[in-house]
Amino acid sequence: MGPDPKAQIKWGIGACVLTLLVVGILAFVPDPFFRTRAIATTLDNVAGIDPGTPVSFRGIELGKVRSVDLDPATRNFRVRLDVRRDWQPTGCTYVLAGAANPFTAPSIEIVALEKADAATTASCRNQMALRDCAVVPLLDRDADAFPACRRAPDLIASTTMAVNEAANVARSANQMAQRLQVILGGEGGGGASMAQVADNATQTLAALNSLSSRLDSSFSPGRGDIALTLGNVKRMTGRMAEVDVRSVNGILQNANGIVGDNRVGVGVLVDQTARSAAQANQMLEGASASLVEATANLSQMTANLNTLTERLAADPTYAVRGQKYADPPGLERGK
Amino acid sequence: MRMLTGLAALALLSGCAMMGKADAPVTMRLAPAFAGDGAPVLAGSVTVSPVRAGGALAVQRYAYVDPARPAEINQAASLFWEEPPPRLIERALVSGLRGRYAVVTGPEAPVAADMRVIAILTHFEEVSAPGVAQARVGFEASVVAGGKVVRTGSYCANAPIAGSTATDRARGFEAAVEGAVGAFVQALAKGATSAPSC
Repeated sequence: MGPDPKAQIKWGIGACVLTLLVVGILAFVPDPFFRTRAIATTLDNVAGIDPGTPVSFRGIELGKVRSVDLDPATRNFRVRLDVRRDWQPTGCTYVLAGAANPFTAPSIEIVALEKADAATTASCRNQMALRDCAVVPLLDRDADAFPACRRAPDLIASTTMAVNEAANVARSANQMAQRLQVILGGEGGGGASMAQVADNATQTLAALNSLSSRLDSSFSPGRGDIALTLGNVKRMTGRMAEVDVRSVNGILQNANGIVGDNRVGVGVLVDQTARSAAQANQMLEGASASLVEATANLSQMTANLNTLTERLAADPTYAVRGQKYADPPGLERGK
Repeated sequence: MRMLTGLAALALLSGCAMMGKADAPVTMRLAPAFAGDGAPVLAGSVTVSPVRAGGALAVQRYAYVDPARPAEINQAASLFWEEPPPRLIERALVSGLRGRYAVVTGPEAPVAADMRVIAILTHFEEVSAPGVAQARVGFEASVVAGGKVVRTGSYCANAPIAGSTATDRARGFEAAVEGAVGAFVQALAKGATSAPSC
């Protein structure tokens, strides 16, 4: 007796439906294995935060933004976050929304205060106020809804990002120099024209110079954005304890070294190609000059940051008090 | 207790009275002029790299030295340059070279040139002896052409500061900058082998 064809068709259809169901669940149901749970917060300005933005907690990635929805009545945004199921909030937990600034992407961080800071609602609110946190009224009132604050621009973090960017630009310049060497050496340029490579190199170097100039301007004591206002300097002094300035310095020196290497590399290229096409020579001379300037700017910036760091380490009140100076003898002042 | 409070109040008042008002800062502009000496303008292009300087010479605050303690650089409380001295020297080098060379560019235009001037500022300070204050400007310069160093030297000039005002000081520094940069330009243009020293 053979198999029943009707039963076979039924089982086949059943298997197809089941497979479709499983695929549908995997494709469309967020977190089908229940590894995360959703929490919510409310922002009045999402500053570029969108679904997929990583959510961090004390240095690790805890989850992602699931959705951002505008509430028509309040004009605020309900932001849902998927976080690891094993994460537990404290009695004082809030969300820091990192507004975009010229160098850093928007970010979301969960902050959980401990012990006395989280003991009562009042102590929690006090601590949040101390951290310049202006809370946006929550749209949701359940246990998994946490208040949000907008993070003030973090100058050190921004600078770190900027210097990393500078290092990337310098690396690109290095790659371009190597590419040029290949083209000039007649080993085949892979179809890239000299004009295109020259154009790319010019743009990269212009970006590097602009960036290093901006950084230099920001870090010059008494002149730049950081040191210009007492408020900013005080904030920076406060942050010294939280941010590893030495690592920022290390990155600065690294970037400077890379630019220096580029300069040497381009100098060698200039020497080697002294008799090559005039266009190539001109471009390489220009690149060399740009890198000299970038090196000077980065070096000055490193020196300024070193000075500021050393002075703050020796005297934490330096930023607020300043240094005692005396005018030269016999200076006559205008009335 | 009342006496103690009174004493504390008196100490506070006297402390406040001693603090006084801060002096308003004075910013000085430097405009050295390089008059041509009638010599023909030389063909070729020159570019000036960013001038380097360290420590007190790299900042806008006015620096001065007591001749009795020549190794100690003092910084003024209320005198400032409009730009950091390295930038002032950079601009002076460009202005000075423009009197002798056909095409001269500064670091703001990173273009190819026949010669590149690389300078390090070594002195930019007042030597403030009573009654005979002098402005001292000095730098070390290298000239690179065709990937090789073709000239190196130290260039320095002193100029008297005629009065006691900030303007007198600026005029003194203008003369010193003109002297040091002028010596460099002359040496480069004429191919002189020895560099003047202070």
